[in-house]
Amino acid sequence: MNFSNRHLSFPALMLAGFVCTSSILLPPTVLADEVMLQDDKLLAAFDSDSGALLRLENVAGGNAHWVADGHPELAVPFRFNLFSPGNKHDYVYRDKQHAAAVQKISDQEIHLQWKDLVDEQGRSLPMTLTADVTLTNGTLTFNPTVQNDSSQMIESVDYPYMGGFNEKPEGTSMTMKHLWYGGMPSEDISGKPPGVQSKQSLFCLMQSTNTGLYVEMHDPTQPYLLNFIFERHSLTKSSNGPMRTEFHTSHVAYVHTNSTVTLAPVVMQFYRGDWHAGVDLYKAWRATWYKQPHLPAWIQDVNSWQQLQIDSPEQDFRVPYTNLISYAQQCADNGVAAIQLVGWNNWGQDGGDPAQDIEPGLGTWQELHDFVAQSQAKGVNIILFAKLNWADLTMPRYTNEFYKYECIDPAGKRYEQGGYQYFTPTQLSNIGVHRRAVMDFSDPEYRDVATKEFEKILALGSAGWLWDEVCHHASVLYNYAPGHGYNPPGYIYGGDMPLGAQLRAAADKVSPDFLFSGEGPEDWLTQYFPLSYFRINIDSVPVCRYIDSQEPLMVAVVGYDDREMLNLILMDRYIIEYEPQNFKGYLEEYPLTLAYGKKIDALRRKYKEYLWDATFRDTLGANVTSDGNSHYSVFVTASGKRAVVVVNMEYSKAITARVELPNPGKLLMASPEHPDTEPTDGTLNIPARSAIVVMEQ
Amino acid sequence: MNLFKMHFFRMAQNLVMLVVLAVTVAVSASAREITLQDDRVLIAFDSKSGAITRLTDKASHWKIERRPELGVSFRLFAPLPGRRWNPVLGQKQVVAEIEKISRHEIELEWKNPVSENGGVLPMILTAHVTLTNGVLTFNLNVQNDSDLTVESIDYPYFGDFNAPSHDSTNLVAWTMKQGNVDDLGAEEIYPHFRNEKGYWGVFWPTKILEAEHSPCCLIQSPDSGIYIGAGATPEPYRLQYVFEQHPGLLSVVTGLVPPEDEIGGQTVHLEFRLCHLVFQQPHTIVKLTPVVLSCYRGDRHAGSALYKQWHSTSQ
Repeated sequence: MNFSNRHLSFPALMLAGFVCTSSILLPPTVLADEVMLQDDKLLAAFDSDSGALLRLENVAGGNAHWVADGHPELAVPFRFNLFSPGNKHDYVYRDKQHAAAVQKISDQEIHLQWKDLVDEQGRSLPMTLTADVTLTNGTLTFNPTVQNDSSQMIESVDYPYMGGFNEKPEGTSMTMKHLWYGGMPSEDISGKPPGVQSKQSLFCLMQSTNTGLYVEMHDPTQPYLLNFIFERHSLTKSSNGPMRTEFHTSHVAYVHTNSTVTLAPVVMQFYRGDWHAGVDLYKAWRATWYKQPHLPAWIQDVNSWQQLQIDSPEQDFRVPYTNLISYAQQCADNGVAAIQLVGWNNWGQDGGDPAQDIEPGLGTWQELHDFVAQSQAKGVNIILFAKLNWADLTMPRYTNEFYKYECIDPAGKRYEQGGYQYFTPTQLSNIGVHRRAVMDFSDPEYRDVATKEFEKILALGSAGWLWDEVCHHASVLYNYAPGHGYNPPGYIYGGDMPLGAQLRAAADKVSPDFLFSGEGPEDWLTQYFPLSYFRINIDSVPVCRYIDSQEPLMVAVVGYDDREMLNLILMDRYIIEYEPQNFKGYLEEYPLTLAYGKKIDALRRKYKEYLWDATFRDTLGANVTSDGNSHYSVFVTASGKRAVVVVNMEYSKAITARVELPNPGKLLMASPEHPDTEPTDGTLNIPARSAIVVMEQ
Repeated sequence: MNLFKMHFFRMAQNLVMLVVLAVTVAVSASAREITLQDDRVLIAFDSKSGAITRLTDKASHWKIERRPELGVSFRLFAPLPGRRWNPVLGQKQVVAEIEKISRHEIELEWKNPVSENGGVLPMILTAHVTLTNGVLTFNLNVQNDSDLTVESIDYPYFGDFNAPSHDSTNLVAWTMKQGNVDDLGAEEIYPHFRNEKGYWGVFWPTKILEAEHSPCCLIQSPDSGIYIGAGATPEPYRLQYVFEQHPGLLSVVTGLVPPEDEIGGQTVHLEFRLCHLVFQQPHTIVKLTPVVLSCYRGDRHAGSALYKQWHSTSQ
């Protein structure tokens, strides 16, 4: 093999890159020394000498055709980031590597191997990277394994690697999308290079107008952090020169000396369509591993909650335990099924964590216990709010106990979370805020400590709990401290699922119906925290609802006549959580919001088959046009009947909207304020700030 | 006593009674308000609480502080050793003395205020408010004879800060970026208001703008504005312009403020105050940095000109 590009000097490489980038939209030529995998959907070509991915192409016809990576001059086989004594970093990178093996095993499989790698200083390192790449029905899977026989730890492995990513398949910029906090953030790839981390989403979408590339970390167990990374590099030494874009997945696996690690497979698939088509690929994979959690009956039915905060670290002690029943009574009177009770524990919301003792300033343990029982006897479930992620640095138990489980950085310093500000001008100026150490969930001993604290919640007899901030560990990814039951560093997010399982087991001893809920848990974590609570805005993408039509997803309603938020909640089948006065007031403090919310829930009960039990399709399956600012969603019942929820987001203007369904049956319409159905031909006159539901008979 | 004398006496008696009655009526009608005004500005204080009950820009007829029942005098925080939450709410205090010293000056004094959780605090707050050529100056001295630290004092405090009308389209608070009056940043406060603090940690949507880089804040309607700022520079402590929208927004989706005075039985009002983070030690006297307020016609450049004028004369 004599592939001349392989040994280009740096300036020559830059020149080649310039030429390449200048003609980036030109179709690449087929090179003689390529080893290819191809089916009717995808083509992947590898350099037979370097093993680098030379070309990745969507070979489907029409506007879906896209050469995602097609510039051999820019190809990179992989990159290792080495962790050396003294924290000096070294790289194994680029054109110094030769593949020991590039073998086509079958029509669907290529075996690649690199041995005795060469670092940037030219030193040979006894490390081996092996990758089996398979192509099955358009699904390209990279299965890497790293054998480290050196004296240096490998911090991360960047593989697979696309050195010349084509970010404009249809001549327009792409966006990168991923799951996070109940929604789907989107960043322009051609802007500041975006990055996604597997701690938030197991996949990312590179989305163009009509086509996209789905990239997945094919392991839902969070073995380590995988970064989905775009990098922008200049092709010349001038900062004003042409740029190229790299994309790779970076396995932050910390491969120790004299060890072999099988890395998480990375899956790539092209798709045609918008983000729904990309998420469909995730849904198909998710169905193979996701275990549906048990849900109590009351949360499966149409229901609503109130969130109520009663204390903060500023010791306001606003609502004594003995006064809580008046809040519960209002919930009972208005058919609200649960109170998410915040700040009930020692030092209030965001103080005193992770301890889950009662707050003496609010009353006694018995008083709180009795309130829980009395409220639930009225049909108002109490959901106790708590956090086990942090240790309040101001608490004696931190000094005496919790410090043992805190995460430290590579320099041996404590990581901290900055805390949250409450009420007083002092705290609102970020003075005297309770900062927190970050607890190590990968430490089995801490998981036991957390479980004991959780059992204090169970003892109070509530119907469930809500773990606020269950979705993150502040800025901390790894704990570098020794003595935590693993060879450091330990991946903190890797402890989320084991801790969830341990807490669930403790709760099951009390009641399988004890509800676990959390603030925006990652999708895999909803196996243990099935109710996800978050906040949305007009731009939020209902991707979690699209993934699972029946998952209990709950959204805050704060405004005093918040018809806009309630209409979005109706549209996306979210549970209403009433939060008057920033969740510090009585439910009846905002009667306009409460009244409209009750009408929405009444409508959902009346047409439960269409609006609650049906499959959510977001905007797929119907076309809605209007003369104003409208939004809509589509539901499909078990019998195949469709419903379309159309929302008028105009503040003061009625709109006319036209609903078009393919091959529609007889259509009826109803609204929260006119719940009895009337026939419609699909043309709707929707008052300002209102919603109408069209249902197929 | 002859008849004439008797008649005169009775007339005089009646006249005195009438005068007394008239004075009594006048006093009872006006006893609730003490005012300062010139041809540009009117400000009124509640004679019982010392709260600002009215503030009017006479040139534009902008009723800045409109509803007397929402007036507030001041607020301070003095945490207790075992409990940090210990505000002193001006609404619950009675002014010990309020005296109109001259046509241009009022002095108010609050003694031994009652805190929410620490009982009576041995403190004296003395406010001196002057009006000169349309410029209001608020001075406050705090004599802290308690064993507590006074962390913050909100003064002056407008409990019902209004846009020129419910139909106002764009009321904006402008503050300087990095101390440059020609480089201002805007925060809309009406008809849209966005909460800028974590909503878990505030009772109402709140904006806090720092005076550190902006000695003045321009509250600007389309054709007139209010200049408010520190009357001394540099401020000896952290000073903030604080806006708080009660009871909340119509919807967090639109960010719109309820357009009427009431929504669902709750009073709609915007609080605006200057927060002095003084951290005053026990048994000390602190003189707060003076706060000046004046109204102007025109856009924000007219307000900026006021700052430049003040800045040039204070150097």
